[in-house]
Amino acid sequence: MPEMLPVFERKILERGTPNVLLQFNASRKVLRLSIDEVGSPDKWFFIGDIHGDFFALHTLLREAEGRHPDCRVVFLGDLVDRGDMPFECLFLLLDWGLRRPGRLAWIAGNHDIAFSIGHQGVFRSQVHPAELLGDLNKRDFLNGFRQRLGQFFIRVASGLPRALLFPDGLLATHGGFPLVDLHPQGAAAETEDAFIEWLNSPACLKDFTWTRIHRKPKAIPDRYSSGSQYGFRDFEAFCALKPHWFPISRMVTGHEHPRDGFDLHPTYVVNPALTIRGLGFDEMRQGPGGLATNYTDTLYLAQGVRDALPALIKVAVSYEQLGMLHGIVAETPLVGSPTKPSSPSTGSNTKPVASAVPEIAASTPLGRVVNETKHISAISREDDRNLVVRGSHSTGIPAPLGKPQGSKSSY
Amino acid sequence: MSSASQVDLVLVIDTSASMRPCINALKQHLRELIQPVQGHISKLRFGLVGVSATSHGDQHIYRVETLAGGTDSLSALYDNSTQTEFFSLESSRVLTALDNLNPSGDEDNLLALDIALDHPFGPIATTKRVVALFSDEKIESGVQRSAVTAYIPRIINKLHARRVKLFCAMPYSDGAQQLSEANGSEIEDVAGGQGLSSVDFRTLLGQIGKSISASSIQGGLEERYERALFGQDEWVSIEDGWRDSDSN
Repeated sequence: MPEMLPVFERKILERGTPNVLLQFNASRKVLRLSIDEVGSPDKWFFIGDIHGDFFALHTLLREAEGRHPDCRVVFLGDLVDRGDMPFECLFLLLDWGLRRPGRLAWIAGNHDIAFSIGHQGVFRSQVHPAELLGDLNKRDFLNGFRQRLGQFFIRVASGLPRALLFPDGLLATHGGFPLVDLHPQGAAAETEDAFIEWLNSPACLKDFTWTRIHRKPKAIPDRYSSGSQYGFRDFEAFCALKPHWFPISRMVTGHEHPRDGFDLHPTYVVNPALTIRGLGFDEMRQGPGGLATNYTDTLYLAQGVRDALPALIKVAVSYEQLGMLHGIVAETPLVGSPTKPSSPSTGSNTKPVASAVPEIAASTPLGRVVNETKHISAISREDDRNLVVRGSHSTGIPAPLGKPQGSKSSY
Repeated sequence: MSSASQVDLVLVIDTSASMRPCINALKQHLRELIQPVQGHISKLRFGLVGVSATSHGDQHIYRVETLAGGTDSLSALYDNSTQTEFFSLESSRVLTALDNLNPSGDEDNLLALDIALDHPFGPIATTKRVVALFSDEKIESGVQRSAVTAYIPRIINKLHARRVKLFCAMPYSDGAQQLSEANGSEIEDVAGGQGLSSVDFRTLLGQIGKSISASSIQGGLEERYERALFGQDEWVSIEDGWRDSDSN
């Protein structure tokens, strides 16, 4: 991985480089996408919080591309913390984006923008727990790699958009929207430009990223806390604020980690909302197998649908491949995991989804890569000198997306 | 996976006469609350507040119980006595304290909530602060009646300032609706009367425990907040309990 960092630094951060990430480093971080930019809604896919779950990120990216070769992916933020492969997720996501310029939008999550550098170069975070901090602040045996990686991550996160509005009224954001106590300022905007400027003010940007959806009707903004809740009446009020300039009718968010993988928020009737979770591990119940223990049997991706909430796509998990990634031999039982067929080529999973959202037939994308010849088999991080991506000829874990088959996992 | 180092949970019990069945059910299922938290939090500390009141004309006599004791503990709370322990790591102490509660009289749930919010919680940067209130009466009920609702916005501000997550199991009402608008609050609507005998405590406590485990905390500094909203820091101790010094 260390040899990949300069490539990312050069291609993503250097001035004059076209934005390889959609809306990255734009002068405004809350933006309306044009009809021309969006094109057909069904090529847009949404991925919820990943939190260091490399397996989930890889699986969902491949699923999106498998469904639409010209797909656009909106990652709704929170790439790091909690899970055990934050760096791998960062490199995978950026690699995917670099190979498909303009097709990846990474919306900032609160865990992504929480990091800063304090006294004597020590990394700090506004969130707790912040597992990435431990990684970044470890003693560096890799010639300053950790320090440089941390700085790179902070710079990338600072350039990420906070919310994208699609032409049909879908708002894609990590947490929510500006809370009601800020609305009078928005209502007072006399021009579209002034309104968009207000949306891009620091207070509003913070709310897009940090606020939390709740089933209650209304919530009183808590300005002592970043993560204040909002209710469905609050969302209706925001949608009604300036509909001719910023016409929002519904919303897709991350931030929460619904136990079922998604939440259609039944109380959000007038202006519907969908929250999706990208990660597959169970934050509450981990056993000796680490994140692979009690891993979900289904991951969720969402696909754009014109004039409606995105449709949910169920992606069955191959425990065999998951176990290989996490270094668990096949005989080790993954406690709580349903028995799965060893072949990942059949993954039909017809768990009912609320009828308000059109469901797309399920598949198992991992089945398409079983016979690739060269791929990452394990990433070992037992100690801080051992950040190594190991090549393998086994057929377990698929190659990084878009990588020519047989190539090594480096540039 | 690391986690917050501490959870401070204050159980607030309406100790009016009808609540005896609720207290028994709480004791019976307390482990349902503890189990989901254990393994994710290194320290779970319990606090307890029980309040009941009797009215004598305009005068209210309050009986207050905390984990630190009976009537004397209230003065210790507001004297900032560092010697008095309002939290305990031992669930057995909570069980004993629940045993010692003696439900009688009327309720004053907002006062009980306010006393809970004045508890000496652990440092804000490392402690999840949680208050769970159980009552079979609406929040507007009790000795202070209509005056209570005027205090709710101040209680909400205090919840926010102290970064306390509130769970309430009580009958729904306008006051409960107001309280539910506090950030992080969850109101479980329960049938009124009969000491919450219809409540599935096992499920309810399990849900609270999971929520405590899942929610992350944010750092920051302790904010200024208004202590003793009802003036209870100046009440006088009498033989039967505490008397509002202004209500003569």
